[in-house]
Amino acid sequence: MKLKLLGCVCAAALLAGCATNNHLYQWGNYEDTLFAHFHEPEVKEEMLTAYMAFLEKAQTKNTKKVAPGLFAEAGTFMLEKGDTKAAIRFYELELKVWPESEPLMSMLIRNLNAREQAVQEQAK
Amino acid sequence: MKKLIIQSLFVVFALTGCVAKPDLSYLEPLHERKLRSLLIAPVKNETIDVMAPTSVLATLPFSLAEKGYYTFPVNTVKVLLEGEGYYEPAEVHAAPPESLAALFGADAILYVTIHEWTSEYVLLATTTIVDFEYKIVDSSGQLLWQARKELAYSPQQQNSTGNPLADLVAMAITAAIERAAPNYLPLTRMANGQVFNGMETGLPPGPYSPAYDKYYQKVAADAKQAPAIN
Repeated sequence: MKLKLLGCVCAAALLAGCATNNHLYQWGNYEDTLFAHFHEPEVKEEMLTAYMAFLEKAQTKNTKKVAPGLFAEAGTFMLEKGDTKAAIRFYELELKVWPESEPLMSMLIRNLNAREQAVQEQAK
Repeated sequence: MKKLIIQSLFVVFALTGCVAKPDLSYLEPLHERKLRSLLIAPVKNETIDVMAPTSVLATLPFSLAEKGYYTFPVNTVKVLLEGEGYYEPAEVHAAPPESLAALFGADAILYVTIHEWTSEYVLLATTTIVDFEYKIVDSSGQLLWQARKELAYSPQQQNSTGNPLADLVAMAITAAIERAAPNYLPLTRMANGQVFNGMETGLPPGPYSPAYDKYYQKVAADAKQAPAIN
């Protein structure tokens, strides 16, 4: 009987744990985007487009925060496409929302700005 | 009879004893350090499946961030490390944790190693097995926490037709589906969830968890009440 009760308590604790843990943040299709990025080149672009649309929409909605790291990942995806300006914008967004990301984001933004300047000077 | 009652009483005592005092001493280094941010290092692979490490890497941010920790962007970290010449996760795991944490400004690093990632077809049923080792090392190189999790999954043939031959065919089909698309990801998520939230290995809530303040108030209160022998 005691064991049975213990089982119930454990089950209840597990359920409660799930309920509170489930939705701290907005994740969009982040996991799928990573998975496609690593393993499925044929759907990579499609996933990335959906991911960027999710981040765009998530910022206008005043509900839950976008999960940590997600803006920075968008920055890196943009950098891979050669869009340095968009990359800097997303790294700045990550920095603004998550102070823990400051050392890394500042370094990335500094380096990219320097690179941008060098490119502009070369163009002159 | 009397002896039996006494014995069962003892058993009940032993059980309640276990319930009242699960061994939570593994939490002490984590309570002391109160981590805010976690760098998830690229996952080390000890199997032959080339998709395994990046698959596991993709599942890790969710479980840890939802516990309330800042998790560094895993793909960005991977790309940056490759830029520094670290193409193999094994090299990242072998590098000094102090310099890795300093490079990213992280409080601690999570290292995950895949020991098993297989899908075996045995007698009309496919069993998928995963086995992961998890370690958290802080920015001074101190090991704060570790856990190991092995999980197996084999799909059950739920609805028997009552016709043994038809059942056999159906089982073979289920096995074929499982072989083509093994349930690695759900199993991986389950392993992460059990390790980060389960008994004896669960991590304390991070600073972004709504439970954080209450949790550490209780830790402080328990520390005051603790008898001298502790």
